[in-house]
Amino acid sequence: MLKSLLSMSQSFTDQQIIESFRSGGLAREKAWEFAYKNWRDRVIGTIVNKGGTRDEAKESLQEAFMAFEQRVRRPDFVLQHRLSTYFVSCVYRVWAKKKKERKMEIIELESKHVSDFVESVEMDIAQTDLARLLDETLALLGERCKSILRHFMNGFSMKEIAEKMDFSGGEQVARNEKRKCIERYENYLHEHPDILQHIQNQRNG
Amino acid sequence: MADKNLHDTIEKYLLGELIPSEREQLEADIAIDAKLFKQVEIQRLALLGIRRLAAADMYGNFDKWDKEIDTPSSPSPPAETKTTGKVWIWASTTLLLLLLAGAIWHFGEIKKIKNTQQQENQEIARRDSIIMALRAEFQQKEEELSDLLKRTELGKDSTLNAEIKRLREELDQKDKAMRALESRNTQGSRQFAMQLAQKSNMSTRGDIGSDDPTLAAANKAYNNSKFEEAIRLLNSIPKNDPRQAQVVQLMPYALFYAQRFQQAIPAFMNLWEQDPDFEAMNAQGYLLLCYIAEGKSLEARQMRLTILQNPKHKYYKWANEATSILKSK
Repeated sequence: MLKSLLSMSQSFTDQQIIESFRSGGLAREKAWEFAYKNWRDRVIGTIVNKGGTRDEAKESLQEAFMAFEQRVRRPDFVLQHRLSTYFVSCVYRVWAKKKKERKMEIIELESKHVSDFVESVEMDIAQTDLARLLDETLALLGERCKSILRHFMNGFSMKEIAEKMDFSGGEQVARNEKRKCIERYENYLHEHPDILQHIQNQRNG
Repeated sequence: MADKNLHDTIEKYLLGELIPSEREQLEADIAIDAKLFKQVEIQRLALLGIRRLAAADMYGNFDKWDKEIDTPSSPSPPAETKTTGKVWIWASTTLLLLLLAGAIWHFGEIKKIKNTQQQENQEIARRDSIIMALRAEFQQKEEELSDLLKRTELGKDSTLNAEIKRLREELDQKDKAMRALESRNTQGSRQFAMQLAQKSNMSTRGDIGSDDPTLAAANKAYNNSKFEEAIRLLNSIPKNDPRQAQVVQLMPYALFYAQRFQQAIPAFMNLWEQDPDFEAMNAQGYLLLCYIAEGKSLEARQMRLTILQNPKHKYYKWANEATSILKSK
């Protein structure tokens, strides 16, 4: 009975998942549903086997998934292993980084493929102070702007965003609105001394 | 703020959408242009912030999918639930089977104990009837003999004398047979009880933990297997003396190993009553042996059943081993 029920759910190949991520919108969400349901237990199993907890595994998964998706969406992304293996490795590395266990044995993969991702995630996420600053600055934006930017980052096309936000002017209005919102956010960041300090540090290496 | 085209170019660069030649050009410009570098970093941070915002949308989906994965009867479970669901079903089935097996074993054991008890009762009844028959026959012969003896007073009848002699011999034989039967049971039982008890380390009890010279001497005597000496010393302590608390602990064992089983029985009962939390099991085990040694089959069977009801009982093995001796009685 389970088997027949299972067969009803949509199945994705690795390439289809990548394409769905790139398409964004509902296709992306469906691909994530498949990926999450198929990969979650493997992620948890891997981290629990290495001494982590189920909650830590899920927390790391939540922290890593967006960076993973962004990485996979890039046109220059080349899949060197199964996508699930890459995902599990990425989440594991985020967890290991959080646990400050850099010397731990790395599962399955030890390649530039994952290392690049880890560097990116470390820069993106591990700096919790920076994350807090970004969140605080985002809070200054109105709900409308936040919705537009969220839809944009979730891969919805400008046409879909226009429909979702009821922009009568259609796609072009959505594009303009998105630009205004992102520029407003960037202006807040420009004015934030801590952010400027962070950029200065980046510049100085 | 950078111009519109530059803004779009940087955004494409950050999203990895620039072609390699454009990307290399931009990176070269960034390296020498501090203002451009700052703009790129601001846009990078802005995208990071928006990405965090967008990620929060997915958390709700993760929670929803978690519930679907962890609920096997979900209307449209994902492929992954095949494994999770199967594990759940297997675990439940295994648990049910274990419970069922446990219940069958439990009821089987109860039935077995009842059957054993019934068989033991029948066996005891058979043996009792033999002894009763022997006793009756013995009594009858005794009466016949007594009658004949009265008659011999009346005359010196050689036929009667011969008959008396024959009856006396027969009586002696019957008496011997009955005593042998009873003695065999008692001797065997005492031996059995002592053999089982020797397997326990209770014949030495370490340091009794008292500075009192009498108690220390009694303890020393006990540990050196001088049980009668230990009993004598313990008995020298007055009944209302506070040291009786330790006497109660040591006396039953001393009596038991001195093979004074009849006296050991009330001593163990007292120990059980005084210290039910720590001594109940010990008292039960030794009472079983005392009853066996004393030939108190009914009490021994009852105690054996009490012990067998608790598979974790310290003397469960004794109770099991006692089955054979109780059957033979």
